[in-house]
Amino acid sequence: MAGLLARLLLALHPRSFRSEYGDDVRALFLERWRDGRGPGGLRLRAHLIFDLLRSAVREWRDALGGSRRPGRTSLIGTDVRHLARWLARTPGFALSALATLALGVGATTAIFALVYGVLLRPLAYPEPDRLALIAREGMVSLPDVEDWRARGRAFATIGLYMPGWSLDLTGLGDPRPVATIAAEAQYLEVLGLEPIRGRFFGEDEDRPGGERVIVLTERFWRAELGADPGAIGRTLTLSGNPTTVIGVVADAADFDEIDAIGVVPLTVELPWTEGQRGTNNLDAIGRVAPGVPFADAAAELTEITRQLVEEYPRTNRGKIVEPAPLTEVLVGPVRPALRVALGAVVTLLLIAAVNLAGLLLARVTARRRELAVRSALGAGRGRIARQLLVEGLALGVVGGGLGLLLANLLLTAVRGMLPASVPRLETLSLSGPVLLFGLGAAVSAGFLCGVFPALRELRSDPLAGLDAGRGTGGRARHRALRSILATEIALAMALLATSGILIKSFERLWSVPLGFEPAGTLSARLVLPESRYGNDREAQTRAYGSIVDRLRETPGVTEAAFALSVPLVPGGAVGNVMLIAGRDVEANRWPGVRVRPVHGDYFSALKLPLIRGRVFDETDRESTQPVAVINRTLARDWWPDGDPIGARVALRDWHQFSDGPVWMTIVGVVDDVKALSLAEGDEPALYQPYAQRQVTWQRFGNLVIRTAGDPEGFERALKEAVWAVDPLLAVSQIRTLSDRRAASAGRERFLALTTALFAGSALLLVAQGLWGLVAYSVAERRREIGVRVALGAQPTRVIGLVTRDLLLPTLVGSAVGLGIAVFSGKWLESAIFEVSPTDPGVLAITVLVLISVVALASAIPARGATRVDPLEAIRE
Amino acid sequence: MPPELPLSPQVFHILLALAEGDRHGYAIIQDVERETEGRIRLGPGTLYGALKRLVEAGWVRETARRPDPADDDQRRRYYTLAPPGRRVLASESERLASAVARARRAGILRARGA
Repeated sequence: MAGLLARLLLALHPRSFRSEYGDDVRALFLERWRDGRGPGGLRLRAHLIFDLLRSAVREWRDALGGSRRPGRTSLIGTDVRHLARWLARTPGFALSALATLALGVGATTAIFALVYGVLLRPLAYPEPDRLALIAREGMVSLPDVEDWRARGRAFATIGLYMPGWSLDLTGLGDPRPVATIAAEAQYLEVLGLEPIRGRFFGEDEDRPGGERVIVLTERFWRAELGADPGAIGRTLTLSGNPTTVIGVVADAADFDEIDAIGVVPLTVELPWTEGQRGTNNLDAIGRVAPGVPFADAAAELTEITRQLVEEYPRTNRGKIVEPAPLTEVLVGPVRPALRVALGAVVTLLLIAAVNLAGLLLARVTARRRELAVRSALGAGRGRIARQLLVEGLALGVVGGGLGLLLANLLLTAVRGMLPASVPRLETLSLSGPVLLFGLGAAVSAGFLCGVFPALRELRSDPLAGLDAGRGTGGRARHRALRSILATEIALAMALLATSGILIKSFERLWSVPLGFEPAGTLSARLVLPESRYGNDREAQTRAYGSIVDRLRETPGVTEAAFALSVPLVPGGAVGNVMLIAGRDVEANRWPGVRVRPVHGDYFSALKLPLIRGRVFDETDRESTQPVAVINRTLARDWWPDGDPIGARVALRDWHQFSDGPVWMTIVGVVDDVKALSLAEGDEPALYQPYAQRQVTWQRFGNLVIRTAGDPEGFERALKEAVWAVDPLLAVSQIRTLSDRRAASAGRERFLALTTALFAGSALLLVAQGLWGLVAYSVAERRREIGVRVALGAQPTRVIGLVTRDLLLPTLVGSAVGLGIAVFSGKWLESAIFEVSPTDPGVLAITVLVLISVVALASAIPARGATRVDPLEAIRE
Repeated sequence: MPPELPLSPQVFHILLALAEGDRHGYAIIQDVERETEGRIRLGPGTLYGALKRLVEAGWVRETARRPDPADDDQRRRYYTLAPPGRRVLASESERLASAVARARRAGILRARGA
């Protein structure tokens, strides 16, 4: 790959330079290319390519300027002038050529900017390669991290934190919930951030009962406090607690998309994490010590974690850590989608270039006289070939320049179109490396355009051209045209097939049964602040009960409910282990379940189908017999033939909060729902009445209402019902579940949309190219056609004559294109949902569409052949 | 055509690298990148283009001497600074030094150690 690239770039240099230094340059290029392995090396490699492009220009200037023969001082300048004159004479061709290139380069660069911004650009932390996300959600506690630090050496620093720790901000605008990061002092040190104002908190300040302080994020400081330097020392009221602002940290937007307002000390905020090995809902991030390979650091931590499982089996059994590079964690999920988009757009650029090459090649016919005259005047074949190459390159550079302008526009548009789940979206721009890529794309496209006609010229007999207009056209050129056509059709075919698969995938995902009815529902997040509802179980139940009652009375609301988790709404799912009375199961084989406390008309509001038994009603209270409803998956796994109704179950991991297992009786079974996303099935789940919940920290959750009309208009009514019960409560994330559903298919929609766009453009390009080629073929063979018509040939035969040559390239192109589609299907698998990458139906439609386009684009200009007036044609 | 004066930063640093001893191409690139703290990064095309002109001007010569037997690599070409190149480098350095001295007098640049 690199070797080929080096040879290609060297070919642009004058022979004199190549023969003397070519080997050295190539060897050095390869050596440096190897230096550019790994992340961060991209810049070096781009530099290498750019360097050879620049030196090619420099050496040509030197070779030509340094030569003593007058009159050859700026041959390239002459070529460019020829081109300008020629384009001015044929403005229609010039415009379509430049438009083709601008479109190709523009789209490719915009998509590359996206891929570069999200995938390739290093994170905005110092030495991001050393950052590791060690544990996420539930596999680590504060004492564990202290042991990691004490026993391990592979990590320079490890910091424990809880992202998205929600606090209520009052006294600054409307009361509202804000996200913070509750973290150890080491957390900011791991990220390598410095305070831009004030200071960070130290390890000694991070202790239970310590003073409440916060380090604000730069974004919040600017947006809410007007970047006031006097903000340091100011007091904010967070969940009722006065909290002192001690510093401002530059935005860590790259890390968590939670829109955090700041960082607060972990054990001040969550004192129970201290000394609690059983506490598990924290994350840990680490910075690998300099010089330690990532894999070694990961292995060390895994080993210490294993030791801890042996030493503390009660709390640590089942704990595992899998440290992963932070970059990987952030961009891993979107990588397949972006790769597909980049592949598609590069294919489109290739088609554009090949298309233009075909047009240029056909144009050579029209210019045969001009070229022949030039060669008669002493221009060598190489000279003319170079002229054609320079023409291609100049077209590429001008078209590419226009393309970069277009890319800038496209980027602005794309930013609005993308799902918000794409990380680091706000940093998208035409940065240096992106511009370099665009330039490279333009130059290679121009090179491709020019190289076909140039090679053809080198192999032809220049003097035959003097006879131009009288012959039947060169065989060699026809061969070249046919191979160009086949290439174009193959590429378009591959693109079309990919797009078809992605559209089908989106359609599948969109029609997947949800298990509930999202239309007509509205949900909102609601958190009861710890300061006033902390451990007061009765107050919590009463607050939610009153809010739901008020909502039920609201005109237009047919059902109202409160639940910890609502399908397709992130967060709120709580894991536990379920015991079944009367079953003899090995200790670690009990089923893991998602516990979903609900209150009100939850099942009817979501139209969640009841399969057997009953759902909860008003008679299920805190004081009555504990009951549970399970989902289809859990019922199928543990009662495959029997009836779960009446069985007694308990939640193992909450024993510590009561005197022993709380046994619940199963009263019903409901259908599975798409809880997390459209693509994922439901997990085993257990619903219980909120009034019968076993822990008091379940103060947060979601309100759901079903309305008679459009739910969008009920936002105000929903807030008022909440504030009638407690005017200081914060209501957030008010969205319809239909919206949530659309967001969940966002990536698939984006992929289907963009590739469809590309495939459409590819078809247009192919049609345009074909049309041009057939029209040329007709023009070129006017005399021959005229003779045949004069001799009585029928119109169908004439059409057959000019389109016959297209049959073979179309067939070969289609076959190769299908081959590419099938071959690259594996690569697509991670980006599609329940469709085979080689779905026969889709492939069949693809072939059909392409062949229709080919037929149409060639038939219309071919009809022109039937209108050739034999007398005129022969006289020419 | 000899390189134009004043020397481009690339050419200047290539000559400086060779002033410290004979080097092959890769070593020159590394040397310049290290000494300029990465501000000047030479690509192979730029390097050999410059060397070609320096050799043609007689400022730099290819050499068969090998500075360090351990570093000997038959495939590589070594370059050495020729007397004319040394003179150009010296005068160019003096020009820069006087410019720096003037900048310092004008208070643009603090004197070292101050």
